[in-house]
Order: sequence, then C-alpha cells, then structure tokens
Amino acid sequence: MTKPRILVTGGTGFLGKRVLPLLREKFEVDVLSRSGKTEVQGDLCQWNAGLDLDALRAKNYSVFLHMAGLYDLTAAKVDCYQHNISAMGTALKVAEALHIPFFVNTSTVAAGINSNLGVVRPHDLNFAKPFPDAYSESKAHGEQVLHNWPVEYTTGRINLRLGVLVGDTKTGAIERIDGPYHAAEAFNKIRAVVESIPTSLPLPGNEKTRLPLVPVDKCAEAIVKFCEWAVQTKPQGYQSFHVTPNQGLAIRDLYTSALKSQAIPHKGVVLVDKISEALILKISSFIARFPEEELHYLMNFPVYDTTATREILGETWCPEFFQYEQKFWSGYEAYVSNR
Amino acid sequence: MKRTYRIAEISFGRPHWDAAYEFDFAGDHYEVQRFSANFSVETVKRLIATLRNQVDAFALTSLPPVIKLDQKSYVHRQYLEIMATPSPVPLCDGTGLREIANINSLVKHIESGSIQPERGTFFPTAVLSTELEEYIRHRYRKSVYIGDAYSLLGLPWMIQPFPGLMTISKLALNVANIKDLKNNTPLAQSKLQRISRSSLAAQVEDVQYVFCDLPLLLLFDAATDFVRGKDLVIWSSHPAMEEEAKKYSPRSIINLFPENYRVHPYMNYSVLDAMLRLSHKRTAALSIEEWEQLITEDVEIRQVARKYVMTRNSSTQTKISQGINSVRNKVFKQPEPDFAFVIHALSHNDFMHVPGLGVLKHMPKEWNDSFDRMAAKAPPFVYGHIKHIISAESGKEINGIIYALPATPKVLKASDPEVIYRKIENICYDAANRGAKMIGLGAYTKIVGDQGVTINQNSPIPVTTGNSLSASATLWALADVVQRMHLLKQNPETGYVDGMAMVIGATGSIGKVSAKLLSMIFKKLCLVAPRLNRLEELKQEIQAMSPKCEVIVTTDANELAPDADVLVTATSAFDQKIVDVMRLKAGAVVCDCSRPLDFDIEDAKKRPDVLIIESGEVVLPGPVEMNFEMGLPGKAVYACLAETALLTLEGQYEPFTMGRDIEWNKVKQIYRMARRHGVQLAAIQGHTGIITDKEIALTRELALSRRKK
Repeated sequence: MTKPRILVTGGTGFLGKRVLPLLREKFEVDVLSRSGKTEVQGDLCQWNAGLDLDALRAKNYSVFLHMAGLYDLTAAKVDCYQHNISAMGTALKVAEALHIPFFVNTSTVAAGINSNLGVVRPHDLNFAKPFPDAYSESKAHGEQVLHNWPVEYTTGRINLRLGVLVGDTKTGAIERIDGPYHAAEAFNKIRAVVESIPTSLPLPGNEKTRLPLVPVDKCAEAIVKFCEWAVQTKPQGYQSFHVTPNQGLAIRDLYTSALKSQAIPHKGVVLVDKISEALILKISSFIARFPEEELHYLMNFPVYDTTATREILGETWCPEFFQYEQKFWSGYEAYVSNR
Repeated sequence: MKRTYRIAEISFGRPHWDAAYEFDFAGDHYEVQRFSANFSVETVKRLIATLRNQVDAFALTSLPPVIKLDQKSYVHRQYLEIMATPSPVPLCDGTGLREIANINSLVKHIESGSIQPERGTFFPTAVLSTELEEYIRHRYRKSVYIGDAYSLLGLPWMIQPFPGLMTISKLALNVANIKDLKNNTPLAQSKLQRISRSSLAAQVEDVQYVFCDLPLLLLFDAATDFVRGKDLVIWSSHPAMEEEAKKYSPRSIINLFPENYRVHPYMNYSVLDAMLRLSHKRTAALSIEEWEQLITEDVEIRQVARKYVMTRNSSTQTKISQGINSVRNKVFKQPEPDFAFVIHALSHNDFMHVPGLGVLKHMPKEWNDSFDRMAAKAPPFVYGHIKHIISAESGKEINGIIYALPATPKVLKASDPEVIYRKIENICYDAANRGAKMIGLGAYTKIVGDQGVTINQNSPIPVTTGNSLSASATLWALADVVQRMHLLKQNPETGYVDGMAMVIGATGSIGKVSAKLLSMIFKKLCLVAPRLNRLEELKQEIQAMSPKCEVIVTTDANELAPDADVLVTATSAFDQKIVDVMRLKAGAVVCDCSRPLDFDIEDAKKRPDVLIIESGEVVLPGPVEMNFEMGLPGKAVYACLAETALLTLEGQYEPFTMGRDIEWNKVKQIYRMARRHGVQLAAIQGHTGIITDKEIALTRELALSRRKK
C-alpha cells in the first residue's frame, strides 16, 4: 500500500526537525519552506504562498501539517500577526486550493493563557481579556481563523495546542533557554544570595499552578500520531486538543529540582503570590534577570483539559517531569557549557 | 481575454472572519483573500508592503471612519496613516459608494414597507453610519436612538437627537480622531458597561430596528441583549458572520448591500469598489455619477442620496489627501537639504496666511504695527522644503530648506542689526547641522546691517546674498520685455539703443550693476540717487567703462522721468513715492526691483500704456516640488534663491555675493551658470499677475496712440 502524502510547513524548526524523520516512516513527506533545500519552495507571507497551485494539486496530499509560525514571546506585534495570523489564512487557502482533506495545525497552550476558567478545554478562547503578549494573542487569533475559515474540501481541521517544549527524553538537548530553564539560569545568577538566606527561600508562584512541560520527542510522536489518526478516522469539522501532560509540574517542584541540579544549598522554598504580580515580575527581573514575560506564564498557567487527547494517544503518552528529570538537566548543562 | 485579478482585502478589525474566495464579474475572474490586522496600523502597512507587487488592488475594510458632520469632516489619524502607505496598486475603501448604495436600498426598503423607521431605529455606533442615521433623523426625528455614548464612552445613556447634540459630537470627534482605535474600543467592556448592559437593553426594548454592520456588531459583547427580537440592518455580506449574528436571535436580518452586486456571498463595499475600479481599468475611484449610474436608475433617489454622500465631497477629499501628504512627509523623512535659504514676511498680510492666524483680518488696522513688532520676537522657523532641483547639465539633484523670520521689512529696518544677525546665525548653524552646505539670504535679511558680511563671518557655512543673479535676472527680464515691445530701435552701426534708460537708486548694489549694464546698451543713461557725491563717483566709473554713453545724474527722478524709455528702480524707500507714475513716458518699461515695490497696483491702473514689471524671477530646472508659499505663481522662485541653488549645484561653496557691491564679473558668471544648468526666466510678473504677450501688445498699441496725440 502506498503511503499517504503530506505537505509540511515549519519542518526546519526545533520541533520540525524531530517530527520529519518520524513522519517519513508513515507518510510521503513534502516540506514547504523558503530555504531552497526542501521539496516545495514557497513562502506563506506571499500571495498563494508563492506556489503553483494547479501543478501541486496533482500530488493529492492527504494532510497539510502546519507547524510554521513565529515563536518569540518578545516579538513585535506586526511580526507575530504576519506569521501567525496572516500566514495561517494563506496556509488554509493553499490547503483548500489543493483539495487537501485534513489540516493539522500546531498551536500553543499560550493561546489559552488568559482564560478565567478553572479548567481550560481545548476550544476555549478568551478575547474579552487582554493577552500578556503579541505572541499568545496572535496564536489565539490564528486558532480562531482556523476555526472559522470557510471550507469546501479541507473539512477536517485539527488544532493541537502544544505544551511548553523541553529537551527530549533521550539527551535533553535544547537549542535555547526558555520557559523552565530560566529558573536554573536565575538561581545561578543569585547563587550567593540564595546560599546566604537563613530562612526558606521566597519565590514567585502559587501552589495550584502546573507547568505543562512536554519533551520535544514525545511531542513529535504525538503530532505524527494525530496525522495518522486524521487519515484513519477522517474526523470532520474543527477539533482541538491539548498536547500536554496529564498532571504537569508543580512550580515548587521545578524550583527544588533546579536548585538541586545546580547544587545550591537552601532551606526550603516558600511560594509568594499574595503581592501584586506586576511587582513580583519587576523584582524577579531586576534581581535575577528572570524575563518578565516568561515568569508571567510560569505563574499563570491554567489547568489544561487533556481528556480528548488521552482518548487518542493513550493515558501514558507523555511522561511526567520526574521521569526525565536527569536528562532535562543534563541537556541544560550541555547547552550552557557549549555557549 | 478573461483576466484574473487578485484583490487583497485587508480588514482593520478582528481576524476571526478571514476567508479566501473567487468569483467572476463582467467577464473577468477575481481572486480575493481577506487578511486582518486586529487594529494594528503597522500590520496593515506590513501586509500592503508584502503584497503590493503581487495583487491588483487592496480593498480596505473596517477602517477608522471618515466622518462628516455639519459641513466639517473628521478624518481619523489612523485612517490617514493607512491610506498614506505607498502602493503602486489602488487602496480602495468603498467610501462614497457605501453611502449611495445604502441610501438607495434604505429608501427602497422604506417604500416597500420592509423597514418602518417610525417603529424605532437604534444605532449602536451612529458615527460609523452617519448617512443612514442622518437620513432617518431628517425624516423620523423622534424614532432615532443613538448608542454612541455607550459604545464609545461606556456611559449607559441612550441618546435621542437634541439641539446641542451636533456641537457635542463635534467636540468629541476632535478628540476621538487623535485617539488610537484599539481592539477593545467599540466594546470597551468597562465595569460600568458590564453593569449597565441590561439598562441599555431596557432602553431600546421598544425599538424595532438595529442598524449595525456585521464586523462591528460582533465586537459588542452586549449585542445579544440589544439585538434579540429586533430586525437587524446590515450592509456587508459574510455568511459566517451572519451565522454568528443569528446567535443573538434577531427577528430578521435585512442586508442593504445591493442585490445585483452580491456576486459572491462574501461581498462588501470595499471589494466592490476594488472590483469596479479593476473592471473599468482605473486606479482612481469611480466618480459619484458613475456609481449612481451603476447602482440606481431612480433619479429622485440619486438626488436624495447625493445629500448624504459626504465622504466624497471635494472638501473632504482634499482634507484626506492633504492629511495623507502630511503623514507621508512624517513617515518619509525630508531629504537632507543641500542648501538653505532665509525669507521673511514681506508685509503684515503675510501673517494672515499662517494657519490659525486668519483671525488677524478682524483686528483693527491700528494694531498692525504693534502686532508685527511682537511677531518679530518669535524665533525663526523652518518654513518649507524645495525638492528635486536637477541640473540640466550634470543631472545632479539637490534639495533645499527654507527658513522664515516672522518679521516684516519695517520691523527689520527698525530693529538692532545685532539682534537680527544672531537670529540668522542661529539659522545658519541649524542649517549646517541638517547638512546644508550653503545658505542664501532673501529679501531684507541681506540688507540688514553690513549686508551679510558679519553673518558670513560667524556662520559655519558660506553665505550669499544672491544679489548677483537677482541683478542679472532683472536685466534679463527687462531685455526680454523691451524686445517684445518693439518700440526702441538699435543703431546697427554703434550697437547702441536709441533711447534713455533711467536707474533710480543707482548707487545701491543692484542699481549699480544695472547702470553698468544699461550703459553698454543705451545711448543715454540717467542715474538717480539721494546723494550727489556718490552719483558723481559712479558716473566717472561708468564713463570709464563705456565712454560712448552719455551719463546724466540727478537727485530728483521726476525731473527726467518723462524722457526715459526704460526705468529700473532699486530703492529701499518706505511710504514715499520716488517717481510720479503720471510723468512717465507712454510706452515706457519699468522694472521695479525695489522691495517694497515703488509702484503699487493703483499706479499700474492709472497708466495702462506703461509696462511695469517686477524684477525677474526664475524657474529652477527639474521637477521642482515646493511645499510652501512664497507669493510667486507656479514654480517661480526669487533669483537670489536660485543663486544659492546654482552655487550648490556647481559645488562652488563660497560667499559668492557679499556686501554692498555686486561684482560685475560675478553677475556675468552667475548668468552663464544659470543658462548652463537650465534655469529659465519665469513668466514676467506685473502687479496683477503674469504679463502675457497679449497684454504687451495692448500696452504697445495704447502707447503708440498716446504718443501720436
């Protein structure tokens, strides 16, 4: 039996590089990029992505996997909008023009960051409350574009809200410092202060917050599984999933693990969330140079509902933090020692 | 042949309703993709910049509004910023078209009874659909309810038109046009708004119609409350948005968008505008008449609609294009100037041209002098730029910057030269900082004190008074006119012209050069100046230069004026007549180089047989663009400005003309330079504007007939 064809965008990124080898086992893969090195050359910022749609239609793609986008919490609004909203529209237009029946999009848990709900379901979006940054706002609007896009051929639209990607479970290798890694960075900067504090260490965060960390290799496996699932079960309409662990990591555990891995002695951790968040962000950024936008996420992640995800990927698809803690920190050490 | 056109529809609003669609119209194929900017001007600009080479037109929707209230138009700042984005393909926003089509549909709906405004109409944001609101308000005043106070300010009051409303709205719009439109503006869900939602809904309980277009309606979180059970009137088509609006359970949805142009379910006025332009092969919007012809057959409706097509009124269009230009000038920084030039107010009347100072004309005349003195205390400022002066010889392009001193000649003459020096020196430093390599002094600024010498000493860049070219351009213009008058004869043997020339103010700088030049052409030359000893000096000098010329000196111009065929006046006299116009010879040509002019418009009217020209102005080479008013018609500039420009073009950065004396060889040198770089004589100016060939012929006939008598 011949393998179904898939058109992939964003195949050259941190995640894309992990996804492609797995994807090639199950699909005939064509990667769309501007690099000049992939099967299909195009640019989602151009009209029709700069593609010859009539010629490509003959390829009979089964799935459009859209991973391209701008991931930068500090990027300018105009760049985020262009790469996460306008490019989404163009990707959908291309999928529709090529008569591709399934469209798989990779979004982010950041799209639900401003939710007021106790448990956020994968469809929930809140536009009545401001977003913390242009990135999360553009991703949320991008999801809405995907949801509302008028379709005739691309009837199955699958939205995957990926958790915070961390190094894989084999080596823990990372390409840049973001999210939870900032905790270790910050502790190293204020090592002397931490060591000299005679009492428990006051740190920002609250007891209820759980960080939705996902090792990148597991995430890549999940994406490939979703693509296969789409081809097999032919889901119709708009479906959204949280690609996040069942539990997630408590912020206190992140701190103690980070302190332990950096071999910083301390006398316990107290989480502080009673004073104004703006003040906490400013202080942390001033004392330990913890980026404000990153800390905002660490402090505000809501609980993400993963019921639908587990039905497709199984209960144990994503390991919890303690199962790959060693690799997590060794990947960080490797990155730090090489920079 | 069937063409395929690409239209990029860029919505300023939320991106939730983006779509791509295609349709055919009038034998052509149209491909449309909608992008949204989520209320970010930068994003609109980015989208235009990315796509402008790949599409045939941009259709801009949900833009900040252009509003016209009571003969005054209000154009939102962000609208201007968006429309000022450079694009080789048209930016279509459908204003004008929308008003005509909406009024047309509304009238028809009212006629057929499907809309009965007397049952109450509610406009959640009336400023965004003023044409509909006004039409109904003019006819069913009692049944209009306006929700702008809630939607824009968050106050839970329903407004019904009342006498002071217009004034309040105008005041509010002045502020609103400066404020950014943000993605939460129309729904600004303040706490107060949330609490007052039900109160708002209660107030519009009995109203039957809600006039609100889809994209705006979907921004209202309170829409459910005020739309339920009502008839919703909209004017754009978008099936997905309509589905969403139906969730608010309106009784019915009435679409005012013309049926015959709903070629695709996603049509709106901006796309229609773009489509019509493309199908008519135009880049500019169609005229109101053309739209009327396309949209409605009914002449009566056309006339009614006309009244409400405000945004296409020429005054509004002018305002928009002016605004766009000013935004562009801010966005695309002024080019670095290569030279600078200083001018000043030539008379009290010049102040009235300053925007905002128009009220001065109501001021009692006696106050003028005190006002002028006070104005002179204000610091000099950048008055404008002169761009794209391109040499005909070398093709070099230069730009200039113009500074203005808010002081009239009278004030300048009366004030301490040291004060004026400091002011002009400051200008020189500023110009040098901006990159200018040369500065010219215009009008009275070069007469102050020692005529530029001190200023040049203290200036970081060379200063020129520009008098060399002024002198040569004046004589150039004079020669031109005398030739066209055909009254004087040249002696073929001696080469001298048989007639008398008179120079009034002959010992002045321009007067001296004029006298020297005229002595080479005229058989007889009369020099007039107030001091006889200086005149005698000049006489000797001239006689040494051209011994064949007969030179007469006098201190009273009136004495010999009746004999002069050609008069050059170059004085700096205030409030006194140097020469009586009635004494001039019929057919005389007067070149008035004095500032203020020696002859006024009354003089010119008294003697239609005498040709009075103002000194020669010139036109600089190249597609010159000036964004200021210098009191000269067309692209003419003062010759002294042209001298500064010429020296810059030539790369000859030196104080070319300086002090009281104009060097004879420099006059020749600059004249040759002018001819080489392509400077031309501007149309010759008299007191009443440009002097045409016809006027010259008429003056000549009159003069001839008078001479016969």
